[in-house]
Amino acid sequence: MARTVSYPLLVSGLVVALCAALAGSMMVGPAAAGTFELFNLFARGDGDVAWMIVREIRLPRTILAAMIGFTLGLTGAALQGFLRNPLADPGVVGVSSTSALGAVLAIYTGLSAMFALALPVMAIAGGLVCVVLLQWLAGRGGVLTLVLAGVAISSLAGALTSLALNLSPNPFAAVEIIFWLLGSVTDRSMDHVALAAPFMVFGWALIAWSARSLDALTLGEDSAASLGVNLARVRWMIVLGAAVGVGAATAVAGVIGFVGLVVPHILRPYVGHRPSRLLLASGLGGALLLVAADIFVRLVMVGAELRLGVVTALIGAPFFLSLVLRARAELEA
Amino acid sequence: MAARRLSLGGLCAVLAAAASAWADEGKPQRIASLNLCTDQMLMMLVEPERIASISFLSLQNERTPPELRDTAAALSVNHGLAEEVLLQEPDLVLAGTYAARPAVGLLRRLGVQVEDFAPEMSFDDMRANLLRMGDLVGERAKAEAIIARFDADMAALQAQAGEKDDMPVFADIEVNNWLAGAGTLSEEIVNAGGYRTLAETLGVVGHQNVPLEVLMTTDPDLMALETPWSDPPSLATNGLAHPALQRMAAARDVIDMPERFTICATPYSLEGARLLAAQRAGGE
Repeated sequence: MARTVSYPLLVSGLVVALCAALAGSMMVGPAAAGTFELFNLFARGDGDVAWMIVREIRLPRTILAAMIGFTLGLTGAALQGFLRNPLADPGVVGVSSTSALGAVLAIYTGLSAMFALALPVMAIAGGLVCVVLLQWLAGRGGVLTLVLAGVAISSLAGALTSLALNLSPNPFAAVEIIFWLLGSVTDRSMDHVALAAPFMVFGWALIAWSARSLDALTLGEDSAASLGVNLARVRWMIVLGAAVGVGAATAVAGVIGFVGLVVPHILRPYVGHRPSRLLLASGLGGALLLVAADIFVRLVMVGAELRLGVVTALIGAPFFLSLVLRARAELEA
Repeated sequence: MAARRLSLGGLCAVLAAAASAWADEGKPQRIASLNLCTDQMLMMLVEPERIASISFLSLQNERTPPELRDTAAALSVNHGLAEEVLLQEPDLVLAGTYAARPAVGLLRRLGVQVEDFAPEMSFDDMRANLLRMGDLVGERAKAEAIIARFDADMAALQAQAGEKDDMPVFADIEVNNWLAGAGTLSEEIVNAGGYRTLAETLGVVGHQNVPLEVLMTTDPDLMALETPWSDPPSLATNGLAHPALQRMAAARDVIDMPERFTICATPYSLEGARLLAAQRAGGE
């Protein structure tokens, strides 16, 4: 399966593609569909308006899409490496759903209006509850146990999210179930970036710290321990990193599924199956995928914008099915 | 089976006879309303003693004109559920064509007289609905008097408003960036107050949500960004606090335009036009 692409080449290729996508994201939008229209706004002397559109509307959504994509790709790669389970993904195992529940409780009770940090903190707490539950339910089990536990936790968190939104006296709350289940970065502001970005970066740092240990873990837990890997510490760093990063991401953009599942799978053959290398590549790949998806929802806009989670699910769900087919073929072989 | 069908037919005949006898006798005495807008018309037309219940929505001050709040607070309410309405034993049920439809179907099947009212998209719709309800509840004269007074008030406002081409532009931005454009009740109210709606200038017909970026490229004279639903908050109501919108509003005149004026078309909706007219008079 190994392809002949050197790691530096792969990373620089992803960086170049990501930069192109970021630039594209700043130039695409309903107010000026093409780059030229944006420059026309500047040329007409409406520079202030054009700047405001770019700075206040497109910049925050671009930053968020890139950072959230990076978080999801990185976390997916870390969870898959750590659990040695190809189906581990923040969405599949339920971290995203419980984070969304935490965020919903923070917003709709009015808590985050009094205390802005309550939003990311509650979402991260939701993610932590999920990983603790997972450790307890499926810590020793195989692929199937983890996925089943994840499905159960996701469904419960989704139901409780809907319940909380239905109970809210705000007449718009119930409609916003869609946002929390399918995710979006439309019309997010720099305030959201300021709230979520530091936590996401902290989550990345925690996971990056454990990269070497992940490589050792591919040899099995006993061999890794003999190489000096402190398993308990690695577990907590990855679990905490996943909860903090995904929690902060979900707090401002809702649940965006499948990024952490698809991206590591696509990139794994190119990095020689070394988890530490996969981490950076998956982060970049996730950022690229989400920024591209966010450009796509703006380009195909008919009336209202598509949700980001719809696009990632359209890409991810068939991929998930192909994984199932491959697993079946391996079982039959 | 045949016997049963016969007895059902008999029952219908008895009911029909009873209904016509009741119609001869006089006005319905226990009227239930399942819809916010039929609630408001009903409270304007009949004494509270003849109202069996109104919808729970009418207890929310955000949606009900101040003039009707005391009346509403003293009445029984329903939540659009067939069972609770049946227990209130109404002799006439008023419903909207889009709300509480399962209850409406069930009540009809059980032989209750249910009258549907389409939502008012204009003051013409309001006139038609008021007259029809006036006939149904036996208060035609009262309905006509309400309309006559409304028409006089409306004419006075329109005389003050002047030519449409000279009107300044009013951006009433509702949650999720919805704008009301041509052919809406909001447009009629805003025009009567001496303004054009931003949506009209963008060529919007009906209601449409407009991307924030597109709003940024417009230059209205007056803005409204308020929503009564900010506590507890939602993403939609928080969206009106987006820095780009707030910056746009900070550079312009801003007015608080409560949304209750545009939910239902009633003579009270003209209060919205009066607010705008006062704003325009003060600005010039």
